[in-house]
Amino acid sequence: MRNLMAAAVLVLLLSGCVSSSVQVLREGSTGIGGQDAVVVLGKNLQTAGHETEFEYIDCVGRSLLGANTPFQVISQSNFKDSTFPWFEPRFAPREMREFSMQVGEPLLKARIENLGVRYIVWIEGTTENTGSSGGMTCAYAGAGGGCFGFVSWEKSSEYEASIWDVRKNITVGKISSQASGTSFMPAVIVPVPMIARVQANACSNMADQIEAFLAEG
Amino acid sequence: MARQFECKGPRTLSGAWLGILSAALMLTGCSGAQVVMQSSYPLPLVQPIPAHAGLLTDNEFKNYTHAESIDRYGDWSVSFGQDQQRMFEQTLRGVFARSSTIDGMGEAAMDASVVVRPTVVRSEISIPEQTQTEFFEVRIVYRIELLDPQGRELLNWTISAYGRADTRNHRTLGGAESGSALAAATRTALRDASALISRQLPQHAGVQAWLQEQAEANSA
Repeated sequence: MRNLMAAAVLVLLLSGCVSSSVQVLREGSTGIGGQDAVVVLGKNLQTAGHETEFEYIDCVGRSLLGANTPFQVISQSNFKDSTFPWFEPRFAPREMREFSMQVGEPLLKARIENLGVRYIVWIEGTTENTGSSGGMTCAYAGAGGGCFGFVSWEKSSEYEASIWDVRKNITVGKISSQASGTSFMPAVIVPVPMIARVQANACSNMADQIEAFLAEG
Repeated sequence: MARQFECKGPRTLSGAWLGILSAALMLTGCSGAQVVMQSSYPLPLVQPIPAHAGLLTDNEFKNYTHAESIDRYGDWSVSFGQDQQRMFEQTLRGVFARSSTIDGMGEAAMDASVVVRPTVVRSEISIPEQTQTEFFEVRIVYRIELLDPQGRELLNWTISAYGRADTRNHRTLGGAESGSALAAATRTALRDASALISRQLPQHAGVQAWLQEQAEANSA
């Protein structure tokens, strides 16, 4: 019995593990005050490839907001509605040069200033399932049922944030966040999922790095 | 600068159970969706055209529904008549200095300096199974006529609005992701139409010519 428990603890400790890394490339100095605001936007320009998940964009925004950050965070939907139609997929600036031209429009410039936006963080990337293995059989009879087997699946996240200083009209840096992990689900009568929170991990790492990047100068 | 983070340890989540149940529900097959749009649309942030626009639409426009049966994938419909009416009202509110809705030409149109009459030329939807992608896509082609209050055509402009939604952003426990994704693609297409009109109508050569004509008439 003791051996069985030890094995169970070992399985728990070894499973649901996430490996992650973050790379930061600084191109300009930063600094942010209490009146300044940051917007986190998904670079969903309706071109080829997947959209960056809404939940990831929301997660980064909420994580920034919830960490006693000394600045404001404006949600993607509020910002896009407030500046409509300038950040719609068809017209959204793809690079800083396009933004600089766009912000020559006085109404847009005034709106961005009124909102207090200092930095726009453009995020692109996704979390993908990269493989799965194993199998599970479930059966049910009048007296009850259960499952037997073992399945595992792997996920991999790759996100990149490009940070624009909209007062100086320059790109101040890029942050890349990669994470990967394997989730397991052994089943002896009852399946016990042990989930590797790959996307959540990539989100919290990204938010931490963005906050540090903006504050560090 | 690179920072490494290793093994954050095991997590057991009830979310996994939801995932399993959701997957089971998805296996029941794709049998279409019926969507009734009820969205709001933002006011465009553009320099307004100095004119009073009257929006003229008929019941067919206000009750527009795209419906089609897709072989092996069921019946699909999306009712966006009320949404496109709201979208056009909001768009004109931003694009013109003043706007209102009118019931018809003649006396009703006389208060306006220009009548805007949009019609749907065609609408198309595609589901992921058709395109072998994970996207629902919606395309709406509008003809937008600008008339003076006497009914003289000032502009006849066709625009093609497009929206898409990634199904991966619309997964729910109840397996209703198809309807949610189709609604999101439709909403994006309607926003695209509003964006196109907001950015391009004031610059359109026909509108510029009409404004010039108005200015000359006022100064004469």
